[in-house]
This record gives sequence, structure tokens and C-alpha cells, in this order.
Amino acid sequence: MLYELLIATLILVSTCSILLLVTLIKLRRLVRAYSALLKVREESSIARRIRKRYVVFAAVCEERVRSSELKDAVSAKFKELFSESTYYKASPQLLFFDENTERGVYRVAHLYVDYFIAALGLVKTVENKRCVIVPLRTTGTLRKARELARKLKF
Amino acid sequence: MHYKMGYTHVACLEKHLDTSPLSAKMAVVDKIVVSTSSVDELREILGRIEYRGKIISVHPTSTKVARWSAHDSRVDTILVTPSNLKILDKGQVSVMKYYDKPLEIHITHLLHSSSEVKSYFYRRLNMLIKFKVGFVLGVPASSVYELVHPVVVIKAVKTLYDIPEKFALLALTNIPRQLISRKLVA
Repeated sequence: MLYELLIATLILVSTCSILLLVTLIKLRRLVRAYSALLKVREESSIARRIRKRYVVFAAVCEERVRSSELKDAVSAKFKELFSESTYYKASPQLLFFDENTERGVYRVAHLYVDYFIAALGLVKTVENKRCVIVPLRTTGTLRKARELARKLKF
Repeated sequence: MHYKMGYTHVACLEKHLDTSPLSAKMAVVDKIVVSTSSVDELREILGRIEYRGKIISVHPTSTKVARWSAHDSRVDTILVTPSNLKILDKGQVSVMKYYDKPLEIHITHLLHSSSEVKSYFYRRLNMLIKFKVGFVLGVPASSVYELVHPVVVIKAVKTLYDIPEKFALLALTNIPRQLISRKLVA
């Protein structure tokens, strides 16, 4: 009787340990799969494509300013505030600036839109002419930006 | 131009003739800045001036004055500039939180100061956010060309001082509007 009981206990213990082992193996596989998934996601986020944003702005100056002068003033302000390395990463480009309506569009990397808007709005002089630059809207397409530059009221 | 830039409530030190036509669209109130290092002097000045229709801003140059002005109901804001930045310590912030007294900081000081002063401001501003004390971002301008667009102020404060947009927006809209509206009613 005692012998049978002992054998039954042994069988029960061995079954439990096998089950535990199987569960552990499954869990390990799950953890591995999850960590692999995280790694893939992280890699994809690093290599994510840098998208473009178009910032529509209006300039109010005491005298007429040329686009090249405006471009120099904005880039100088950006470099002064956020250093040259951030400027390269943001790579702001003046796509067009209408000297009559004083409206224009800048293209900038999507990660640095906030930096660019801060620098753009803090430009106070363009070639010794006092100016206020107001960022009007930010869009994802150039067509929409051109449309807004024409339509938006300030 | 002020209205176009998004400014609807303005507190100014000096009113000129060109300010009056704007008053239909904008709420303009007077502002007085009291700079002192003695409590007695501050008490005497506050007793003399008509504080009901004006924004009273105290520029304390000593810790004692800063503590005293934090709990006086006649004082609307406590102005902090690079010259008196060191009065703003943990004790001052907790008193200001208790009496719900906002701090006033000028955006020009945040942008055009030395690196050392900027680092002071960085630590103090982040301490204010940690303590959840309201602050007012002032844009001192004597002409239209010195104005800064509110969106630009928010983005600049966010990128340069790591202040969440939510707090920067409050510092430009709700807190100063409450102060000015209170004075318009009085």
C-alpha cells in the first residue's frame, strides 16, 4: 500500500515538473519573440523616413525685403538659438517668397518644425530693417501651402 | 496689429495715444512695477497707489520683500528678472503656491540673456512646473516690431526650456487673462 502510494506521488511530481518545464519553454519562446518584435520596431523607428513640412508665413516689415536677405536672417537666428548641427538636421529651405504680398513658404524636416517656428518668429531685423514674421500654418504638401499662402488673411 | 497677432488683453506701463483706438477690440489696463528691497517701503507705496484698476507687479530685490509680496492681496504678480533671480527659491515657490500668486517672467530675458542666466531660468521654470505654480510670460514691446507671436513664444519656450506646451499656453492665455479681467471689473 505504502509502495503504491509512493509510486503515485512520484508519478504526480514528475508530471507536474514536466508540465512546468513545458510552460517555461513556452514562456521563454514568447519572451524571445516579444523582444525580437521590440527590436524590429526600434530599428524601424530609427530608420524612419524624414518627412517634409511646409511652413507658411507672413512678414510685416517697415521696408521691402528681398528673399535672400530674409533667408540669411532666418538661418542666422536658427544657428544662434539651436546651433549649427540642428540647422543641418532641420535643413530649412525657403521655397518661395512673394515680395509684394510678403508671404512665403519654408520647407523643413518634420522633427524640427517647432525649432524652426521658434527661430522664424524671433527674427526681428532683416538687413537693418525692422520686421515681424508670423508663422501662419504648417502643412504636409506644397500645393496646400501655396494655396494657404494665397488665401490666408493676416 | 496687436489684435492681429492674437493679443486681446494687454497690461501696459505707459498708455500712448495710439493705444486708445484699439480699446474697442482689446482690453487695455495700466500696470505698475514696484521695485524695492524693503518691506516698509513697499507697504508705504502700496498704501499710496490706486491698485484696484491697475496691475501691480512687484520686483523684489530681497527675499523678505518677495515673501511678503507673495501673501499680499494687492500684489498681482511677482516679477523676476536676471537681477533678482536668486530670490526665487523653494520656500518662495511654496509660499506662492499657497497664496496662488503667479510669477511674471519676460520673454526677452529668456531669449537674450547670458548662458548662466538662462541655466538659472531653466532650473527655476522647471521647479515652477514641478510645484504647479502658475507663471505669466510677458512680452515687453514698445513698438509693433518688437511683438512676438504667441505661437512663437510657446514653441521657443518648449524647445529652449523644455516647458510643456500646456503650461506655456496657460502662461500666455488663462493666467494673464484672469488677472486683467479682474482689474477690468474692479
